[in-house]
Amino acid sequence: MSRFGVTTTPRPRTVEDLLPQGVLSRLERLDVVARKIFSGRQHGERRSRRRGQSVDFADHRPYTAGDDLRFVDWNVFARLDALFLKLYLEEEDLSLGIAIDTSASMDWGNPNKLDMARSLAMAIGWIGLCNHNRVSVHGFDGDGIRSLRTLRGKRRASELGKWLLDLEPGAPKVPGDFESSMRSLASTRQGRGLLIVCSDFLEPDGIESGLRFIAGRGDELVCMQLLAPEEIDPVAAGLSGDLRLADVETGGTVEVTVTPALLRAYTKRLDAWCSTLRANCVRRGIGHLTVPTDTSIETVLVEMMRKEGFVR
Amino acid sequence: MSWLTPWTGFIVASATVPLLLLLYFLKLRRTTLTVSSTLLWIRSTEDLHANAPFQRLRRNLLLLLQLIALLLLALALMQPRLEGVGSAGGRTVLLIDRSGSMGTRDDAESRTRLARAIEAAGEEIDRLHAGGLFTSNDNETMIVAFADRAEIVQPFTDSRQQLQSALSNIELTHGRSRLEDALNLARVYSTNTDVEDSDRRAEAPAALRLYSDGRLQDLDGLVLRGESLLFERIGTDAVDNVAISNVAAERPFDAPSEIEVFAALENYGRTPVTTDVQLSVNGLPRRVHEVELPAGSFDAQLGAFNPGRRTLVFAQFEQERNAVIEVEVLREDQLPDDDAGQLVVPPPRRLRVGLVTPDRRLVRRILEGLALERLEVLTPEGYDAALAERGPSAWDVLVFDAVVPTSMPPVPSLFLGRTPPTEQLTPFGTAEGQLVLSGRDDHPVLRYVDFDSLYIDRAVLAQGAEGTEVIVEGSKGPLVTRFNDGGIEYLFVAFDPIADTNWPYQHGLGVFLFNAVEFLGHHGDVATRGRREAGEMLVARLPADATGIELATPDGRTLSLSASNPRRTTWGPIERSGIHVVTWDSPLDAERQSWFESVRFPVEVESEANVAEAVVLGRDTFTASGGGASRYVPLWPWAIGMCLLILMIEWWIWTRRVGTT
Repeated sequence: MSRFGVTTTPRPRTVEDLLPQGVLSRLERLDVVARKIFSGRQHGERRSRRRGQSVDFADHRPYTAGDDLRFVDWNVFARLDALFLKLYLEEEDLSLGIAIDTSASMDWGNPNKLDMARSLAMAIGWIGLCNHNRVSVHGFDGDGIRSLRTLRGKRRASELGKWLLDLEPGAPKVPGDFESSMRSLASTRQGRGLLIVCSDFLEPDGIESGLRFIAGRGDELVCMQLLAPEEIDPVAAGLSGDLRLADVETGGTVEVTVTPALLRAYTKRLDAWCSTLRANCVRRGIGHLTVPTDTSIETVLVEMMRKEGFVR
Repeated sequence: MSWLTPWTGFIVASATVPLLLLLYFLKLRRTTLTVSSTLLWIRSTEDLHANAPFQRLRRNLLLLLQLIALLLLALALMQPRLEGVGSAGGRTVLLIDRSGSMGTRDDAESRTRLARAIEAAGEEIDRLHAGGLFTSNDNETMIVAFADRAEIVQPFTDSRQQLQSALSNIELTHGRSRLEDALNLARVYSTNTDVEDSDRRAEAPAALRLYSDGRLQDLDGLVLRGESLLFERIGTDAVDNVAISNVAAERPFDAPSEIEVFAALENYGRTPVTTDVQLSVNGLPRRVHEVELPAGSFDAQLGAFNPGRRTLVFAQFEQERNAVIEVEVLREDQLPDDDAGQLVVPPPRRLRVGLVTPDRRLVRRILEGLALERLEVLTPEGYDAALAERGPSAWDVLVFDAVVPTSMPPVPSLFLGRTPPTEQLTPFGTAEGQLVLSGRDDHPVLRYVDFDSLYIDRAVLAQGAEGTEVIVEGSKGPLVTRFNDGGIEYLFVAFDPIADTNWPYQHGLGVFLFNAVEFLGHHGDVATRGRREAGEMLVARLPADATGIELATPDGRTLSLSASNPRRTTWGPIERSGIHVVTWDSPLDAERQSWFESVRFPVEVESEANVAEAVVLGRDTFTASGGGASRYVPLWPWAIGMCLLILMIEWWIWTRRVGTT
């Protein structure tokens, strides 16, 4: 039996390991969904707040001196004897940010939570790149934030993958690190858009204050909570007996005797913790998804995220 | 409450309780596992609150239960017990009375006093030898059962099992209660004669426990020599008992084929009783009479209890053959063993008498006048020739009239005036001019014989050996002596009744000769033999060629008797009253021969079954302690039971808390 929580599955060494080619091709058909409409920077394929030159009619407005006469709606002028301009929707790119918790607690589980987060980032980033979105990736831990420059276009996928492969687990977080990380992320992130945070969210001080910074900036936020099977069902993973449990981040220990009553209490606590997290997200209009790390990437994207409306 | 093995429990408790506490003080050797976060575990676990040892102890119900269970176990190992009557320990002798009165069933469950005595003694043994699972005490106990004689049923031992087994084998007898033998046995066996055995203290006499109803016959002169005695009185006062005190039968002179039966009844209760009395002959009821018996009363002057008495005469009935006569009280009382009396009546038999005489007519004429089958008159020489030719079976009785044979005759004989050649009699001279001083009037030989005017001019003086019986005592020496030589009965008349007395002129001589011949001729028959009592020896005079001798006792047992001399076959002591039947094979008869002996219950001493208030030995008066020692109550089984209960509760709590994953 493998030691409890120690990763024994193969760690990704190549982009192919992060996201197999076959999966890449199937993910090309997907697109991330932002409920809000953000202003882009470049022309793209996503509807923008701005009026532009797409073929989609948006509105009329009275003609003012200096307007381009090519957009005058002559049919309306014929009926009303007044000049109105036809306005069309603009299609721009979307700022898609992916923030990965790289603290020590993420480098745990079997399959590893950090590996799962990197694969998810690769998959979501690939979808974003395929849809001409500006993709930015961040890693945060106790040491701060590490970010990859904004990428656009499928050709940058390898760069994304390489950066993710180089993303090593950082220093353990201490209380308050998650809030400071989110604050830093909010301040350094350019433009508004969709931000997906991949973490286990097992923060002693809670995550509300940290999420508040992101949500307050105007980004649309999705929290993907990654949990290892050992965290969801410790008994199935082989947890039993009299144990001293050491926190991988804080180093603190707790002595437990694994009993049915204790397991029931733990399950109850975990459910309550996840429910609280989901309730906080819902209250703030934040998307939430709990992902066991033993779930395949395709299942997460094609089934779970599509079901939640995060991709289409 | 006392503790049999306090140190065992104390040592176990002092070794295990600290160990248990230490195990709880010490933290468990836990396996360290790394988890992503202890956040949820901290909030879930209960053990977190028990890290501090004393806090853990205070809150740990399992430890509390385990401590209680451990202490209960240690308590059980100490073997606590609740005691009744205290015991001095050491050596104890249990004296169990198994005399006839101990068959009284005077408790609510109709158990005999002996059964209750055995039960009480068993409880005493349990108390004395409560013993332990882990240690044995140094108490030693001996059991002596006594009636007429005392018997050690179990020598000193510390084995409770052996004692209880021996106790259960004690059986009731119909003998008298005699304590002296039992006391002597107890003293002999409790005295340390082994000087090298320093563990036994010779100066410490045994403690005696007497289980009896107190009806002891031989207390006069008995004293204790330092022993302590506890009298456990068994039985109650005011016993309802009617007894057959005597049964007699007679074949009348004028009708020898008929039997007349006499019975004497005694009422030992304190209320008058009316009861039916049944006469049975050979097991078949013949007569039933209703008898009213007056109440018994205590005579303060004599200090004795006088039972209400009645005699009963059953009408004559025809019975030519021998018969077993039984008279039975048809009434249930508390002592059933004395409710029946038996008697064996032989068939009428005429005797073959040989008279060896120097041709004196008077004795011959008297004997010719008796109802004999045959009278053969022999000269001394003719006697020797006839004996050599025909053997001893030619006569039932021989009468030597002023002559003596050269050797003792092999048949019962009467010697007149001459000392027979036997070692039983040692002549040492003659005496002249004697009168009869005393005679045993109850002896069959002297029945209806008047000696008042008898004058003996000259008589032989002879000293009888041990066992001889002087029937008539003269003023200068024995005149008529009964003795037994080689199992054969003889009568010796120390004077010549013809030549040396005035007896020929009195009618007493004829009656005496008749009685003597009848006594000698029927001595082997029950009708002329004194009835025996329980406790005596049974003596059967069987033919010399008897083989395969067996004895059937009244309680249904059949015993094989081996006798080197069948003419004197003995067995005993007799334990039960009733008919004892001796059977044997004879080469002359195809059928087995039978010989009956009726044994009577010692009514006069054992039927008065009212318990004595106290036993007086010398100056010491031992009052009853009231029905036996109280049973000690061992508490260790309770402690074990509670320990198991606590463990079950602990196990239930543990499975609820931990169980198996």
